[in-house]
Amino acid sequence: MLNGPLIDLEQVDTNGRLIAVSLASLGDLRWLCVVVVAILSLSTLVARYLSRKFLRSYFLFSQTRVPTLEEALSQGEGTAVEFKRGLSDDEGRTGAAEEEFLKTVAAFANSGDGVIFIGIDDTAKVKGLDLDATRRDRLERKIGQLVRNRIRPRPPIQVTFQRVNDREVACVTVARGEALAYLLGGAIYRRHGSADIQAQPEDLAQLVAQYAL
Amino acid sequence: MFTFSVTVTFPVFIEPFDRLTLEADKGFRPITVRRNVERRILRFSLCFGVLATMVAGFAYVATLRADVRNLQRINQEALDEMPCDVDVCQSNKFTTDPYTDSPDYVVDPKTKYFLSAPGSTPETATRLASLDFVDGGFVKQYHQPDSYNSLDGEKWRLFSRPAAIGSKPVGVIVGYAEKQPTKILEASSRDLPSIVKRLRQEADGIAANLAKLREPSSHAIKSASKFSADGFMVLDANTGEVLD
Repeated sequence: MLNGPLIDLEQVDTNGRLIAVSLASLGDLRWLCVVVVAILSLSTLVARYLSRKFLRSYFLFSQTRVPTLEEALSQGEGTAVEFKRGLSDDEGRTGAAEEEFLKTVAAFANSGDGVIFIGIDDTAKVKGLDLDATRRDRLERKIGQLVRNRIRPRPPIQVTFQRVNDREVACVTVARGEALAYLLGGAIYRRHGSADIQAQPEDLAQLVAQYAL
Repeated sequence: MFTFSVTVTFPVFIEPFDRLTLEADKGFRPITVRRNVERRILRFSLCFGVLATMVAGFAYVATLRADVRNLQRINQEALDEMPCDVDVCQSNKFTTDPYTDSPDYVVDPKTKYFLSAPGSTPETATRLASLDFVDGGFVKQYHQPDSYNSLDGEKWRLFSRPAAIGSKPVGVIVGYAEKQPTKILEASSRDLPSIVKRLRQEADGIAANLAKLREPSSHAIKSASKFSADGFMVLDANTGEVLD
């Protein structure tokens, strides 16, 4: 049984000569401490559980550092930047452009944070995408479905749209994922300079060693 | 008492760490992603927990607002029923009003006289223990029996004497109400010699009981004879703490 000093709320009033004091009990100090610690612990545990379940992606992306569009246009393609001219309009169609796109996504997820700008050619010329609200949604949906269906496990990506020189560009930010490796068609791709190459056995050993740390 | 310990382990092997740093330069980043995310989640959760605790605290305090307003009302009503002039405060109305709630105590900060004293329940004694002190100088004034006129118009005949509990010096003060307006009580001046005699006897009786004790005990103090004065107090001669 916890017994400790009582805490009272003191109301003091005066008429200039006399002082009247009334007390309201707040409770035993030790029990209050126990309650405070219990509320703190419980709310922390609940917040942690819910954050891990629903906010994992947010926390992952909050620490990603990728070049901005302006920086990418000035520096060109590199370890963290890839330009794609575009993807096919057909939501269900998967062609060469889509395959290249997926390789880059998988490579970024395995190697380090990166961003894919769709609507810019390899020479860093902004061609833009012909998008209205519907086509924008369709493109975002297509990207999500492609990544979800083809890459295992699903890598963390964020799709945004930016306007530059009156032309619209899609930005697909890929974070270095938490998983050991992200597979596309059973293969592990990694980023080497501005190219996406299939990982070799020695690369796999390194990946495993890093993951174990 | 709660203690928290945090254990931090560092990698034992230096070489692989250096190799990984090199790999990071080539484009690979050492895998701390998961750890970083977990750390951020933990930090966020702790902040959320602290915020939730503060909100709970504010909510609890907010529920006390009604209580505080009620206490304020009680204090104000009591003070309104105790008007004061320069020397005297009239407490008749407050004392005889059965409908007004009482504050825990009403005190004159100038004379430290309680117009409404705290109750004598064990709970009150614990909560208001800091009030259980008496001015030793005031008590010593009554080594010869004399009258004391209180702020609320009462008149008491007081007598005090030193005593001891073991080796601990204490003071004993006994009193007889000569005049109490709220009880329509007034002693005649002819009764004063017998009142003084009775006060001396009671004080001596208490002192004798205390001398038999190693520690203060209310049972022993009152048991020797029927206590026929109106009040007494035993206090620590050094600190002024009320022992009984």
